[in-house]
Amino acid sequence: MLIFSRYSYWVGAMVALAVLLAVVGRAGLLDPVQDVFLRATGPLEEGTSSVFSPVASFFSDVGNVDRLQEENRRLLSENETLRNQNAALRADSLRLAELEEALGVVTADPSAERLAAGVLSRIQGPLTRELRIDRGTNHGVVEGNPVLSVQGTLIGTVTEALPSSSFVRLLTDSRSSIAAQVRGSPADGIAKGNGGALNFELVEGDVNIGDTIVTSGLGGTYPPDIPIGEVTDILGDTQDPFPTVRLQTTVRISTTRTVLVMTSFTPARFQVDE
Amino acid sequence: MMRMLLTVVLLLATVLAQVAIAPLFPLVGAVVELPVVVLLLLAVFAGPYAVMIGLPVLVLFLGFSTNVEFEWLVMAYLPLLPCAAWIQRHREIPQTPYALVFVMVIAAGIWARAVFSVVAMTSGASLAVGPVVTDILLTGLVLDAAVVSVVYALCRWVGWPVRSLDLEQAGFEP
Repeated sequence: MLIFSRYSYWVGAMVALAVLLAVVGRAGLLDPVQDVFLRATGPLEEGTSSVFSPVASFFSDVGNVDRLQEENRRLLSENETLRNQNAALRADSLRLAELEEALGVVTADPSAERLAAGVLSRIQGPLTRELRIDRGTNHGVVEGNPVLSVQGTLIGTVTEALPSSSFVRLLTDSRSSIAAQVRGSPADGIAKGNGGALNFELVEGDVNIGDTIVTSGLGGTYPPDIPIGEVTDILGDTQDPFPTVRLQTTVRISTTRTVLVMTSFTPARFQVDE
Repeated sequence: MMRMLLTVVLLLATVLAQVAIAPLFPLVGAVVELPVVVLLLLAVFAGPYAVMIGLPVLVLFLGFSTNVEFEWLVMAYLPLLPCAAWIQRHREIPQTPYALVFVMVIAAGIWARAVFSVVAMTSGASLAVGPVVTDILLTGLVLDAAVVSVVYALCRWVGWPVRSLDLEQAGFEP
């Protein structure tokens, strides 16, 4: 124990420093310092990440050639179907706009304002998955804003907004849980991250492989009908009333460089707090 | 003064690499714990003073970059240096400098990941012991051991001597 006594002064000083930083940090006194630090290191993080991203993508793709080829075939087929559907929807949309104008009806999408943000860094710990983006309170970002991929798939929520950057907790973070439902079906449940993948815990109804899971809007944490992912696997036997359902997000979060922040949506609990 | 500045630059680079590079190269679900690797190598090649000065700097940089609370970061990395010194002092334990580094990177890696898992669980993560052990702990330790072994071998090849972690031998008189 002699060795510990020699280090005891330093250990004591470190514990005291930890307590001091905990108090000062919780009081928010370090937020301006943190913002300055992140402003200074942001370009370095972005530059470093952009240099190594292609290398990481190469190694990732080499290990998944078969899966990527299969995925490519499936996506080509889906793309054709979606192009056709898109054309039909455009026609319907124009028709709807004409009818609304004729009837004097005005519809406003509360989730229309979406702010593009660049991903500065990825923070990955045991069970946790977060991003840091280059938009903060100066740009209208507040805690609780949903964050989407550029294709409109939900990828996370802003958990802390600093003046010029924000931290985003991803769906795959094990602290993340979202009220969700099967699109076009009354089946609902909770989409939960497990530190790497995404599961859907069914509360009521049936779910099948290929179903699209969207936000239900229950609880007011997210707007309804934002796509979360697609059911790829259902674990457990057919009699199991609460099977474990694996979801595959339609966006590759690990290589995403740009995201959209829904700045016009603030969760109900944050509105009450204010 | 120059050495202190170099240490700060090294620790800043470590934090940048941890948030900008390490997540791009995961093994299963784990990433390398670069702060543990760098603190350990710093202790072995630059002496205990470098870590004693560097740890608070690292905690500040890492806390700002990852938004993890400072007290948890201190808890995760603080035991590394005294424990390594304790092992090194007990000569009855058969050891070579590399064996010490290897044992310490495993022990410190387990400790740091355990602390961060507890942090995640206290803020709402559900406990799944199996995946935590296989996907995060074991694979993470493999990455840590691989990185520390490569860097240790390079440093020895360059000719850097291994230093004592004992404060008395390092000239510290409390």
